[in-house]
Amino acid sequence: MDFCRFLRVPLAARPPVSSTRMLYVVLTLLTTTSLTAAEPERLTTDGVMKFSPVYFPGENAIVYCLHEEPTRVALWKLNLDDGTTKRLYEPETSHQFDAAFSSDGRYHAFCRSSTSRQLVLIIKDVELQSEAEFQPPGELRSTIRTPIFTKDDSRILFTLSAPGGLQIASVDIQGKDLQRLTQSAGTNYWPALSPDGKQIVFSSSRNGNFDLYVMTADGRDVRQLTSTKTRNIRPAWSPDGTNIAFTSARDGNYEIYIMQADGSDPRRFTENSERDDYATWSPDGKHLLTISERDGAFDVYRWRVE
Amino acid sequence: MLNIGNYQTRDCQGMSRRSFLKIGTALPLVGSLPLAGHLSNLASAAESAHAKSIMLVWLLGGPSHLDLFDPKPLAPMEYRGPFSTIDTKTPGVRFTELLPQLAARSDRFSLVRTNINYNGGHRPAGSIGMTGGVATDGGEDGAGTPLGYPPNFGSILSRHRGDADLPGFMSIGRNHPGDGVGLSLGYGGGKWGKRYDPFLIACSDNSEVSLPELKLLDGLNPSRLINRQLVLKQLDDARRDLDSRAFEQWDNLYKRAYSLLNSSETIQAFDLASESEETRRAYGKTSFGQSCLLGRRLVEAGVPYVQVNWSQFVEVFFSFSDYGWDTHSDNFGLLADWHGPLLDRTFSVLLDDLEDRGMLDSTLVVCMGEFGRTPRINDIASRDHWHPCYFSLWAGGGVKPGRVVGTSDNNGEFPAVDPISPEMVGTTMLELAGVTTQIRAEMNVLPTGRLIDGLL
Repeated sequence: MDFCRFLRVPLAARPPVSSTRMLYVVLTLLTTTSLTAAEPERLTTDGVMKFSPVYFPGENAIVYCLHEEPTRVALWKLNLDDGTTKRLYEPETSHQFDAAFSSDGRYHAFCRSSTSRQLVLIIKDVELQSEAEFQPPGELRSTIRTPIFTKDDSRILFTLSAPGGLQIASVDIQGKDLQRLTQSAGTNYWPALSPDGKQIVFSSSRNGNFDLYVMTADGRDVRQLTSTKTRNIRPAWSPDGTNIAFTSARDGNYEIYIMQADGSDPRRFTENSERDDYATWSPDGKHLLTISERDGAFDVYRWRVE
Repeated sequence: MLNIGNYQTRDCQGMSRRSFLKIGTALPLVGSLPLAGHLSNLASAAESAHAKSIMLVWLLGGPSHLDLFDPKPLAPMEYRGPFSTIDTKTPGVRFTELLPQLAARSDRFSLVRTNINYNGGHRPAGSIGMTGGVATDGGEDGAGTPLGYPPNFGSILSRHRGDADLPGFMSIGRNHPGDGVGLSLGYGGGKWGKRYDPFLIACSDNSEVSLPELKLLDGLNPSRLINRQLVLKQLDDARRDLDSRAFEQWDNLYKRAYSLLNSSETIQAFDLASESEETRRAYGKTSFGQSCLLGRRLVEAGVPYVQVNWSQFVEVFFSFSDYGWDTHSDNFGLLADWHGPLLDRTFSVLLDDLEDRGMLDSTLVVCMGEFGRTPRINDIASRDHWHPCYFSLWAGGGVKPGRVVGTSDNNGEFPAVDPISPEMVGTTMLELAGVTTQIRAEMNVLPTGRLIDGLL
């Protein structure tokens, strides 16, 4: 059922219904449509290409990657109270991608371009003002993408592109003790952790095209959650653990879908002829952030999830 | 560096950017293109050609043919990649799922799946791809110079068409295309010299147009540029600040600047604010999108050859780079995140716009890179350089649409039939633009070139 389309039909345009039918519709909505998308709130207006939004711990703020110059992608912080933006770090000459933060905000992780390994993992300890770097092993073109912290903040999960393929792996917060959690064929990408920290949902092409899979936090018991002919990528687990939001192109372009955590009942959450992508849950689970393209401009949007 | 000017159109938030002036002694690329003249000359020269103009959309870095226009879903997993395939409007032809808009428009362009190049390095392959020939002096791999290459296809067409108000060959980008080491030496006039280099014009995601070679004075904008007295005074002021060593180069620059600024029509062509907000948005708020729009405007103004560069550098992730197509690592993430959707949107809008304006029949649009990427996925789950087989898209200008030329083998590694060489690319482009076999012979260019029959 296409909730967005249904909910956007003006009342006056709907056919008259009997009270019994109305009661049925209301009950049906109450029992089957716990997730709906109202019109989103546009949080940025510059329209510049941006991606990978994430909530900043301890503040009402988010951080995202911004193409601030043709030769520089940088991390920017948006204060959700007053709408002000600023760079998260002082200007660098390197690109910065894919920020993640420990739950107490002490550790920041992100990927930074380099002239040796192409993207290395940077782990900042803002309390000690120190910085650790993890260089992916093997050849010079290896990269790190999409870091996230584990539930106890002791390790960082990421997508590792290194000899052996594109795999989900982790290191400790000193950037040491590399552990590979997947070692499958195809590409394995975009890990996201369940709120209890016991499961990882990720996207993999091991069976052909990108579908979503779930495994235990130590990489065992892999189960497939989606099976469509087009890609399902960038999963995000809701804070209450019941739902997973993700990007799918099953209707022809990038839209956000939400399904039960076991993979059942997928529903389209956004509907636009342009792109909706990078779903990120608010800490209270009441909102989703997306990077959405509207009229050719890329901005951060906030959607209420009911 | 002599930077004279930098002006910006009004963007959707009414922003403007301060212009500036810098004077130095390094004056790159300051040949004196044949600028003076009349657009009418150009029109008569193009009369007999299908294509009054050529627009080359240059995807430097090497876009993956398997992940875009030549998918191999039945190939082994170590080749085929993670993207599924979708139907196109052309029966029996499938693209990957990254290109739904172009799939819906496949009847408006033709696809060559068997382009070949002679070199697997970005800069030499780029030069070969843009000139149709190899260097005679060692090229980028040796101690070569631009003089070692044949002239760029754009230089040939520009010379053939002769003088006009606007330069006959314009390249849109922050610099001529290259990699972190240097430029592709075949960017311009080659053995003919700098006189036939392209005129460089840059365009930002904010519709800001600037002339890297002729940055104009503080406060100048397209409308004020028409004030010749002001321009002359400012150029003279700048000239006084130069030392004698730079005088000769300055003189060439002066002529070039004056010629370019002599016509309000030429300045108007640079002003993206003249476009509707709807049109500018349709192309997308990216430098590539706005560059394609600027390219269309230049074609509309009568420029015979416009090259729109996807980026300045081939590299993606290096500190200096700007998201080229050289996806040695993270190919599949990058194509899903950025390159695929951006190309799909922008090139689709460009085709729509040209068609809606009735310009597609008279404009040959070619979209390609210097090579493709390895069909076999590399050890870090990505793809490396691959020059034995790659794609190009051809639309308008006398090309029959909806065709597929050439078939690659089962894994997309080599042409199974119909290999298409860089000489054939250049020969076909120029032939459609009226540079006939006889003219090419008189110019002593592309001596071994043949037409790509399947496109015609």
